[in-house]
Formats: sequence, C-alpha cells, structure tokens
Amino acid sequence: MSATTSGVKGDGVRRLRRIPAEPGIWVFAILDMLIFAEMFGIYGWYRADHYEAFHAAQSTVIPAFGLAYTVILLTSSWLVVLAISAARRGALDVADKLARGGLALGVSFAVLKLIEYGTKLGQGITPVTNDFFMFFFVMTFVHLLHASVGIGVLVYMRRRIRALSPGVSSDAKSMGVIETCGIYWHMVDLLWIVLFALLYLRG
Amino acid sequence: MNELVRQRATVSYALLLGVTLVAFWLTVGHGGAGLSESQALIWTQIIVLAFVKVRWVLMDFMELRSAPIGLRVLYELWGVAVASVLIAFAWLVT
Repeated sequence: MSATTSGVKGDGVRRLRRIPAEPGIWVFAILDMLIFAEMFGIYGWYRADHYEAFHAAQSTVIPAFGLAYTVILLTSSWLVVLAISAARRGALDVADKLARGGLALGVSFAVLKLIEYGTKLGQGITPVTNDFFMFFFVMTFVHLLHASVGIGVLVYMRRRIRALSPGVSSDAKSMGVIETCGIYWHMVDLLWIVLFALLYLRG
Repeated sequence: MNELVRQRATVSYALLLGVTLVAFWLTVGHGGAGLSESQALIWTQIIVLAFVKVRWVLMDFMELRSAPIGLRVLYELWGVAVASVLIAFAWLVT
C-alpha cells in the first residue's frame, strides 16, 4: 500500500489518496483491458458493418444466460469487497466466509459457461458458424480463461486471509496482497459487463 | 474510511443490479433488420448503461474513487474511449 501527497476532502478532513493494492496490478490490468478494448472495437466495427447478419445470429443467444452471469459476477465482486473490508478490521472468520461465497459464485460462473458452450455445440453452433459466433466464442473463451485464473486468485486470497492474525487490524503488506487479488477479480467482472452488453443484449 | 468503502460498494452493487435489469428490459421487444437510427439509439443506450456500470466497478469496487487522480483518470479514460468508439461505429454506418 502506498500513498501520494495529494489529498481528498471529506468529512472536513484531508485524507491521503492512496493507490489500492500493489501498484503493479494496475499496470497489468490496464494492459489487459487494452487488449480487450481492441477486441471490443473490432467487434463493434464488424457488428455495425454486418448489422443484419449479426442481429440474426444474436437471436440464437439466450439472453437469460447473460443476465445470470452478470448477476453472479456482480454479487461475487461485491462479496469480495466485503471480504476485504472485513479482513482490514480483523474480522477474519467473516472475511473468509465472504471470500468463500465470492469463490463459489466464481466457480458457478465457469460451470454455467461450460453448460452454455455445450448447449451451443449441441445445436451445431461453433466458432466457424458465422462471424458473430467467431467473436462470441473467442471473446467469451478469453474471458473464461481470465475467470479461471481469477478462481485460483480467490483461492489464494482466502489462504492469505486465513494467515492474518485474528482480531487485529491487518498489516499493510498482507492487505496489499489481498487487495491485489480483489482488483484482479473486479477486472474480470468489469470486462464481463461489457461482454454482456455486446453479445447478449440485442440492440 | 473502511466503513465508507463498504457502504459505497453496497449502494453501487444495488445500482449495478438495477441498471443490469433496465438494460435487459430495454432489449426486449426491439427487433427488425437494418441499422436504422432507432437501432443505433438502442445500441447507444445499451453501451452507455454498460459503461456507467463499469465506472461504478472502477470507483467503488476497485476503490479508484480515493486513488491518485492520474490513476483514476487513466481507467476512466479507458471506459470513455471504448464506449465512444463502439457508439461511433454504430452511427457512422447508419
């Protein structure tokens, strides 16, 4: 955890602005997000240029899947925020339970995604069916890989939470590592929000 | 500070769920072929709502609200740039 000298005004006091988590995660996250931005942009261009074909292909996507993933990941992310908050104040049992909830939802996201892939493949829809499904499979699979890494990251986060000393406010270094895990998981959530809009909402 | 982060995250979580449902509802009953102006408009609404959600995740889950301005602006710019490009493409081809 580190802080700069600039201040935030709030409640009549000046608080130091701080970089959440380890600074390196922010470099990693923005680079990763730029790669996704490129995919989003290319998809946006193809969609606009081949609107009728994309619109027709999109009608075979089940929007309820997209809604379910979004609710699952948002809830998981929120539980991770609460887990980190509990860890900061030394409520480690609570933090561990919340992190376990976040992790369980992360796993259910991945399982549901595999079920959806199975449904699509069962219908004979593959990445080579058309341009829309090429984007659909590639972008969601790259995201699923990120989510899978994220599940491992949340397992590690739980281990680090359990290694903290109970009942005391946690030390900055350990909390920095735990917060870093959280930032990664929120990035997975954030990228999904865009994918949900691009692939599941039929505008 | 910790309590404030928790409260803000919970409010944002409720808003995120609410906006998700609004965006889902927006897309029900809108169909047809050809990229007409109204379809570009629906797309614009979907993208704007998505990036409003992205901003809440950045600010209140990733805690960029209290981060140094430069870091916060960098990530906000990512959202503005991606949303602008996605919206511009739909209107340019209309």
